[in-house]
Amino acid sequence: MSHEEMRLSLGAYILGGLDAEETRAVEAHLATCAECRAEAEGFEMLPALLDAVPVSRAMALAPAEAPVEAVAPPVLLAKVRARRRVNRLRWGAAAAAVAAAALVGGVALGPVVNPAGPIAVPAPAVTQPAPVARYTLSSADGVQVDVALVRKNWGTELELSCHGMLGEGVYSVWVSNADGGWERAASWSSSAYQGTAVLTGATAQQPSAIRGIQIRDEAQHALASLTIG
Amino acid sequence: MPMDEEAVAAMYRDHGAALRRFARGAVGSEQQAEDIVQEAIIRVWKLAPETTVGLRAYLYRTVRNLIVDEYRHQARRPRVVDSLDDGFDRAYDAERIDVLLGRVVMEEALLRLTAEHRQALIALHYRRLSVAEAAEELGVPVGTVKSRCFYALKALRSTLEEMGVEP
Ligand SMILES: [Zn+2]
Repeated sequence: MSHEEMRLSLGAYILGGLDAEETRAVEAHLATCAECRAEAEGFEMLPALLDAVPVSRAMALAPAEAPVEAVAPPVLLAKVRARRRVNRLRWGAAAAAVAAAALVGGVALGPVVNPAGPIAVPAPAVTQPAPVARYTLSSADGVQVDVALVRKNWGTELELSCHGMLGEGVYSVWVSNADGGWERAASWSSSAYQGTAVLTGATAQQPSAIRGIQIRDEAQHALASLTIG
Repeated sequence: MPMDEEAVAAMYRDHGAALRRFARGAVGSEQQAEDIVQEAIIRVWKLAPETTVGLRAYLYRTVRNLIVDEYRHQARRPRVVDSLDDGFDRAYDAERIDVLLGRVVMEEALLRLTAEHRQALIALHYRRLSVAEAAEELGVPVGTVKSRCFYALKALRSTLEEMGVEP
């Protein structure tokens, strides 16, 4: 068989569909043809990846239609509009914020490893600037908040990781400027989290203008306070 | 990429259905799956990525993390082992969620192939038919089955690359 015929047989070869004689012929050709070897190597991982789909489900896909496009629900777009309006004061949603946690200190997303065959989902093409400063605030009763300040065009983003919240309550993080005025940068309800709350706060001030950070409880009492500079 | 309603609508349009299929395999209800997908899209929008390259992979990853976290939160509650209507046990831990992710990503990739290419992969890989058997069943020449298998794997590879999965 010619090189071109051999090349076109590589798919069936990788999928194990050739008979013994054809298989031998392809293997003999692979031993001598670098181009076909490279082609075959490009296919090598695919059977293991295909094994991630159980046979019964794969068979059900045979007559399937192309993936459908979904129309974004109005409620989602409304959320976006709402958040855009308050872009000076953003904080994480009440749902647990693992993705945000991965972003504290930059994007740190490990590969997804499938035991049936490795699928590497690459880190996204999202670059997050490194924090310019990190602080830890602790209250007398054990609330601890790790704060990383990230410089943004519009001001400062606060990456917050909050542990040790006792009971249910609404907590907030405040930042002060050089004039001594305090501004709320984030707030969250501890009942939405177990153990650790990870969220994003924001202030229009540049990191260098921030003079203090406070954690406050529902009654606006400062639980912990930090002076900078 | 404009980070506004249009961008979010586009993310939802292009990735919503696939993400929901993934989430639905791991959480209890359609509503929960929908909530997780919306949360993931909002998160990615908030990060304001400057490019859509690798966006799908990133959205999958975010949905995956939200699901894993959900299970961590539920870990202290008693577990009720139940099955989805398709007969698969629900994914209960990170490892199984990753298996599920691999499955959903591959199903999505298969769905993006042409029906002929998908048919060839199902015949040879999943049903373990030989080229000769597949040719007979599909009513096409042996050479056609071979070239379909070849181009199906080519297409699968580039689909996976487009989806941000490196085979
Ligand atoms: Zn060759």
